[in-house]
Amino acid sequence: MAVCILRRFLLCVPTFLGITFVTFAVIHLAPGNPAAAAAGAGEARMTAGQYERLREQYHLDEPVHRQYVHWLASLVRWDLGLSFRDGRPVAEKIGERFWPTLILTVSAIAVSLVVSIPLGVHAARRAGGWFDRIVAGTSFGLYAVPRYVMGMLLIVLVGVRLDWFPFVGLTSRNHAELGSAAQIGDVVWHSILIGACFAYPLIAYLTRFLRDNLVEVLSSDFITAARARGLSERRIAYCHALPNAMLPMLTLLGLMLPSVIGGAVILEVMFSWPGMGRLMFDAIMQRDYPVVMALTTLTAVVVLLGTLAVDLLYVIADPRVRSV
Amino acid sequence: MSIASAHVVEATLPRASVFARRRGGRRLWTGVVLAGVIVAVGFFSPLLASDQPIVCRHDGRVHFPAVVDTLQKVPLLGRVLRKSEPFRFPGFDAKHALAPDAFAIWPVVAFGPGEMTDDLSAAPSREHWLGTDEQGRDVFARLVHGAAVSVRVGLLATLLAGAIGITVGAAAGYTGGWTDRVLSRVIEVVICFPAFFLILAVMMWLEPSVAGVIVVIALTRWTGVARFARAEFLRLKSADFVLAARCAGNSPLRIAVRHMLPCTLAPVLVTLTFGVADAVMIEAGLSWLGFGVPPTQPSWGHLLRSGYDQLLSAPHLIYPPCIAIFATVLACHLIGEGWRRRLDPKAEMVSG
Repeated sequence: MAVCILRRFLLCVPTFLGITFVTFAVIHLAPGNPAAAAAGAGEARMTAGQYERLREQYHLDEPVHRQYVHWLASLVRWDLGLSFRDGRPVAEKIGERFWPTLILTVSAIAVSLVVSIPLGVHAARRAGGWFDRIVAGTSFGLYAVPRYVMGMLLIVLVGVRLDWFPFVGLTSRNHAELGSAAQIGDVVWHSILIGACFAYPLIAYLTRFLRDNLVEVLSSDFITAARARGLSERRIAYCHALPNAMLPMLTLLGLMLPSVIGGAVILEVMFSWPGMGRLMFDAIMQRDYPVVMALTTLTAVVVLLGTLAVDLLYVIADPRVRSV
Repeated sequence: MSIASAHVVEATLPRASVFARRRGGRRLWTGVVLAGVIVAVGFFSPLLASDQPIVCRHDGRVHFPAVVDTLQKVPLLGRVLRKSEPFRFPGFDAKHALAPDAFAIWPVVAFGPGEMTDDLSAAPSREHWLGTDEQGRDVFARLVHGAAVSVRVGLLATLLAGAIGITVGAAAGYTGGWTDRVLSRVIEVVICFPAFFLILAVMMWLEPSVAGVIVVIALTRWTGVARFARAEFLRLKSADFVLAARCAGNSPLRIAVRHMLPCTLAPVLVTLTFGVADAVMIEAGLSWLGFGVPPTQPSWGHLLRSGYDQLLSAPHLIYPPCIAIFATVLACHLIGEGWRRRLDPKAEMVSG
């Protein structure tokens, strides 16, 4: 098992290098790269001091491959450079935007698991019944609604017309005056609509996936054996069949992680949510290369770590994988 | 087999599978019809909404401006066909230039996608079926012409992504060894990037254009097909018919293209139908953010954006693009899902 985990870790190294290489290539080999921008073609906003700093930061007077090595070295030391716009450290800027996105992503995954497991189990136990059909149809239809479309509809119908939930930003204007419990409540209140946009495609997809898997598992021999032993149907479904159907779901969650994080850009802009996606959008609008590079690399690394975590969980959960 | 178990088998298995096949088929055909309607609307958009007539008599000659607009969408014809004289000029205003009593058949909605009127952000009316946007452009016309952009981006981006994915995946799966190891890492690297972050990083220095959007989407969305193709080629590599082909003296390339590829094509195409949905969603999303299709061209993303910008004053702008995007994605999913069930006998049995 240790060998297996170690090998999985080592496999991440070339992937990490690849991620940094792609980011570097995308930004530096492009027309209008930082060097050209610094040289002033159309970017008159950059001062001589800024250019000097930029040259220092990226070693622009050295060949491209040396620039890459320098950048990689500083990246590993968590030195992400300074933002072009306000001169603040990029790490600090990302640090304060990291939590709002992480909270959304993690709570969306948690909520989707809590909702989709009972739905999927119930649908699978009566496969072909009316509940199953309703769940199947609803989740199929919901999954075909792009998240930003759902976001717009929620804003217009629930936010504007019904005026139930706020849809701008993370906190109310009087946030600072509230007590600490009320402050948390305020953030939760603001995150309902955008959180729903994060969660519903996961719920729809996971429910369908779990149900299909469970139906297959429920027809296998060990379930028949469990029935023969006189266990209750509920116990069979949750204690015997569900763990087996959960394993592929783990992989699926890992696979869906990039799209969950990637979808944050539009949704966070739409809901003025101060997260990483919004920061990415602002940085691109302002041609803030250090921030764009750091964010692109970081989100990819987060996904890499997410899939790594899923794989490790798999190793722990499924004894068969360990021997491979 | 006892009578009881035979009865159970008879009661569940055949009926379930027949029922499932019919259901899968219903999904498939619903999707095909829906997709067909969207493609047709996109292709015939100049006949549905245009500021130039379908047929008209002008200065003693008969012209077909909107028909030519439509035919110009056919790849090769676009270079050969040209509109007749006055209608070709960008500033030509057919509505006022044509004599009022002249013979003319107009499209259902006589507004072009870029034509600005004096009604700004107007609510739906008899003249403007779905209202107008903040520049007074007819929403129906923009919706219909936006379908053309969406269909083009969806199909071309997916085609390109499919070509890249199949090539990389086949090379990795069929060659094996170090090629496979390196290519698998490359695939994993691209998967790790949240598509939107990478696409936006590229769009930062790319001038907005439809071709740019297509290429960028294709370059980031080929990994699913590549993984699939790799697994399929890996599986087929040891199949008897491949061995037979090798014994017959075929070159590896020929075996891969002529013998193995046809076996993997159907499931790969299923994956690609979901890719079309993704591409359409990404294009509209990019355009919503302002990094997609140039603002001069109609796009569902632009329509959605003008609805968002006037959330309180003109919320009616939001629904048409929402429905259009949803219908397109749904059509692709229906086709993909129905087709997948048709191909997969196991899914047929278990799914209700």
